[in-house]
Amino acid sequence: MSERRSTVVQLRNRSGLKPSKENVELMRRSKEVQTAITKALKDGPKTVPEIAKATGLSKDEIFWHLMTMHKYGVVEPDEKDEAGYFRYRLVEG
Amino acid sequence: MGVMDQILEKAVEEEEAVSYDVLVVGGGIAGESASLDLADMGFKVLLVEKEPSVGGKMYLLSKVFPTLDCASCISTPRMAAVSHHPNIILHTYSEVLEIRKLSESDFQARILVKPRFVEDDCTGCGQCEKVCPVVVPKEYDFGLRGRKAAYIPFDTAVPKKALIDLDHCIFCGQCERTCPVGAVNFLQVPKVVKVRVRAVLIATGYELFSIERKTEYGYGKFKNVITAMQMDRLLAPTRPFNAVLRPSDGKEPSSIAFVLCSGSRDRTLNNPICSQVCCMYSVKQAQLLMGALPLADVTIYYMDIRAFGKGFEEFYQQAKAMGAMFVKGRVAKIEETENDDLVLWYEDIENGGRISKAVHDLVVLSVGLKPNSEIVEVFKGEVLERDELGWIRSRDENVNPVETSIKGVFAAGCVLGPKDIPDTVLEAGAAAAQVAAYLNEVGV
Amino acid sequence: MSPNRRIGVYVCWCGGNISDVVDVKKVVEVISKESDVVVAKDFMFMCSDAGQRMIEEDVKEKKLDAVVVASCSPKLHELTFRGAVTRAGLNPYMYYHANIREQVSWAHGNDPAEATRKAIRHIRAGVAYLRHAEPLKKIEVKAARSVLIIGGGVAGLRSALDLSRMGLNVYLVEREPFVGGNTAKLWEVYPYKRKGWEVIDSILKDLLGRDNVAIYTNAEVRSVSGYLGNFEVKVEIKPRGFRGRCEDLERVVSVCPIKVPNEYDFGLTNRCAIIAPPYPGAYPEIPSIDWKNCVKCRKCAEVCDQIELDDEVQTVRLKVGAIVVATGFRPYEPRQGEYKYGSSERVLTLPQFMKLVERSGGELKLGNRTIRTVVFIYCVGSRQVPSGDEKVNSYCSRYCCNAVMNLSVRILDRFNGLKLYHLFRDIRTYGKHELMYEEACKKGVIFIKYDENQPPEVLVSGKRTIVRVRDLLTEREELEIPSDLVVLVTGMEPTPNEKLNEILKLPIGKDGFYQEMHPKLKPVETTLAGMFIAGACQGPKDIRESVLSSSAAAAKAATLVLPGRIELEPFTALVDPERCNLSKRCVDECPYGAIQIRRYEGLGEKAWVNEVLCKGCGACVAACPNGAINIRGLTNVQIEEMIRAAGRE
Repeated sequence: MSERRSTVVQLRNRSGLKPSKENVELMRRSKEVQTAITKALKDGPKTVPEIAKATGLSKDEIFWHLMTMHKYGVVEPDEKDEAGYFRYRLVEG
Repeated sequence: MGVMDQILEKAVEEEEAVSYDVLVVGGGIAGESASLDLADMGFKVLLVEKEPSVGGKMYLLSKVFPTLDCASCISTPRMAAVSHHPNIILHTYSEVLEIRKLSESDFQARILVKPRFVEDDCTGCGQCEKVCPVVVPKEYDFGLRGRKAAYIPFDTAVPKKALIDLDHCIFCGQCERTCPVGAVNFLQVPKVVKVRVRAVLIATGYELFSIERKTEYGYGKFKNVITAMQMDRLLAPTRPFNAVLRPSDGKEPSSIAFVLCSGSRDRTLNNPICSQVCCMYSVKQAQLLMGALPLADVTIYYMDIRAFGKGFEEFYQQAKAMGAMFVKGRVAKIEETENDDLVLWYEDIENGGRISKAVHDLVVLSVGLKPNSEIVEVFKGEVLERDELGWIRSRDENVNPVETSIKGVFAAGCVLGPKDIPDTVLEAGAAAAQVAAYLNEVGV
Repeated sequence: MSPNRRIGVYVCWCGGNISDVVDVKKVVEVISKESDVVVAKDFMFMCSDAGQRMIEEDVKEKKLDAVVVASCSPKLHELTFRGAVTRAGLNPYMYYHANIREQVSWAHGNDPAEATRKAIRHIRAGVAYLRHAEPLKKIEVKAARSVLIIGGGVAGLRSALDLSRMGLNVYLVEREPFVGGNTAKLWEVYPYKRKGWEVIDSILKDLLGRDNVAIYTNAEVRSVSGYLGNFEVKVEIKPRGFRGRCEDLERVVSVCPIKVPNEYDFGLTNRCAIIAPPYPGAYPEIPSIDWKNCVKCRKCAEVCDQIELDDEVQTVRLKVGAIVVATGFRPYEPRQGEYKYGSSERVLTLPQFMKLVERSGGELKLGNRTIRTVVFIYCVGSRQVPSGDEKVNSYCSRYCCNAVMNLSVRILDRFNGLKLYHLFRDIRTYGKHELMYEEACKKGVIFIKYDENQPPEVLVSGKRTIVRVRDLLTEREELEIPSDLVVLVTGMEPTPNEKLNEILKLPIGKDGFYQEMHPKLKPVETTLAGMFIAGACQGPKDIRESVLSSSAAAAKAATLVLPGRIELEPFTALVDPERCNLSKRCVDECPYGAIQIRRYEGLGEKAWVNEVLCKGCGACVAACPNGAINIRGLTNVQIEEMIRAAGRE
């Protein structure tokens, strides 16, 4: 079992593969955006424009990550405002 | 060269060839239907699908015209059936590298089985996906949201097993440490299996027209210009958003436009033909949108409404009666406003052809179909012919449309030309009949 | 009392189709408290592989002995889930399929609370059913490895060839004296320059002379009995009236006094009561008497010794495993006066015009008048706008735009100085046919779009024919087009088949065409097991599409009969001989003649059910005064318990 656990290390050692700069950047950026969204939602549900105001990030990037976070059960929709924007809140636990 | 390509170069070639009656290339609704018919007749079928799950494009759809059945209800059981049938062997995430006709009813094929880096023990629990730190656009949602580098293609995938997208992996090993059954294995190697088959059926389907090429429409630049395939995802039960919302800011749209013939009937884009399905799927989406967003306006900009199939005309009339607006006119150009709305410039044909403009807050491009026929390149020796536009050529359009230029090689579905699901299923049945007749005549 | 069961209940969301109305979580919560229910779960798509796997795993792990799935109609997925429980090791009949989509969520979308309660009742009934269910076994019978094809047009011929090549015996029955149907009558058919009869000929060349094919012309199906795998068919064959080919057919034809419209050129000319082979390669190659119109004057027999006017009708009895119906279409026949059809000789239908073109030499002529301007009016007999109670063809006939476009391109190539106007509603040259439209535009065809509520008018005065139309493309400007010929682009209607419909009882759709079981899942299957539909009898199709659907029908028929045996559902009547008091009412009631009186060991004469003939209709169950008969898989006890469970609060 312990040998199996290290297949990624073995692959890296054997082939000299390194994570590409692009992929590391992808990871860093999504972490950054998702952390900012999470932080903005800590004090209550917000719409995309409201999150944009709080974080300074662009609305489309926020929405894209928000929907990804929704897929993984991190956020969920709340009620919709009059302008047609849903509020989103953090899933507890 | 990507990481995956480097790994695939080191594929292990298997020596022993396994025999089947027929090789079916493509696991969409056409390939599945034909495989099941042939398997029911007692033939041994090898079904090869290049994606990590069978299902093709149909299961991505919401509901399907003109009956509004949910696409999943119709397609997922067929996906399950091909994986359970005793006469069907299924290779997903696999590519046909070469097909060589040795003699009548004797073909040799080489198939690359790509490593998923996840063993068959995978239970599809999704833990690896939760912990993976890399987010990339999800193909199955046409980029509308993200997926991880370790992922399960979608909820109803067959097989429902995870895989690791090595081209986006940062080799952190989180997935491997998390997997409760220890199924992650980065040391998996690709293999090339050799098979001998008596007949071949090509069912590789279509690709969506790359509408970025029509720069006047701004797809890829304006966030709220989406393709109809993306709209179908928004309307599907497995939808990427929690409701029908526009991608620029998550607002519920109040005025939606459909631009028909986007990338079809257009010589300037080298696609002069009609894609045969766009009118009807747009009419369908219009109906579904009017149900989902009762307050929204839906406008369809069209050249001709081609509601030609059984029940289609009635379905079109129903959409009109429900309140969808049909405007005859080709859209020339789309512009974006400051608040992400879109201005459509169009020729208003029924009002003297003057140039008019209209503002919408979401625009759906009803994109056409292009052949996915690169498979012809794997044929060695004899040539599998295509027509000028790249669709596989029928030997005789009216006498036997599913026969190709190579005897013993058949084709079905959208690889022969654009068509809807009912016609595709018929063609798959026809191809099964022709394969069976051929196999029976050439004998064992 | 029934044994304690271990039942699993699985409630499907149907991706929202059910769960948008029915509160599936609540259903699961309530049902899980039901006695004998060991596990209850919900899932987005129960029919998916993941859903089926979940059921299979539960059966094994939780040692279930019966399963309820609450989802769509059993027509769609009962077999899917029977397959899943079988894979898990259960008998396929220890399964109940509760329909909470068609019968609940779709029917009660406006009342979610009541829909949820109704779903619960449905499932409770299913649980009650399974408490009293017993494992059943399918009934295996031999199947005839032969297929009957009704209709000898392009669809029927294609099916016949495919089935024959697959090794099955084929009987093809054609009502007319020649095979080939409508296709053989057409001139050059798109997308190439081959004529309709050439398409037929290339299939016939392969088909004729095959030793497992029998073709009957002048023949009609008179009765069909039996069941899937074992249909008994009676076919009546009218004599041809000719023993062989005639030396001088022209002379024979000239002596016949009868004149009727010639259906082989869509009534453009007349023919006599002797029908000569109407095109090259026609099969059979000998003429036939048209008995409907022949007055038996015997003048023909005086000039030809091959004629025999007193042969009798023959009857053939066939045994087949499956039936393919390919009766095709009839071109729409405009009403008298519709766009002056029938009252002006300068108004023709599209098929008639095709024949006119075929006959013309270097010049396109009607009578001795040269035609320079032709106006085509689209959608005649198709896409009709309903008015009042009149039955209309609201459907699009699919092939006509393509056909008229192809024809226009061809005649512009062939005749000089032609001017063509197309008066259309939408141009529906779908798919690659768009290229024909493009070519027609290039060649100078003039297109005028008319409004369905303001159709064109054909005005005839003396020798002048004028078509008046408002053009939507030029702000409804009124145009008057003087024309030499008006061609009505007519669509398709189902072939009238009253007698056959009475015999087969195939379901017919609102549009009058035969109704398939499901447009995507089962496009050539019908609700009648073993009967398939192919070609334009299912709905308008061009040649390519007809051929595809008939090959598809051949595939489905073959999967059924190739193995030579068929498994029938076990839901048949069963007599308890100890309770039978020989009232014989069941024998009288049974519509299938499936019940006989037999001697039972130690009990004497009692009723007995032939389970191969029994359809499980239950007529005998209701008739039996002693309650001695039950239907397997739906016993009286089960029905009573289901009602009780469903009614419970």
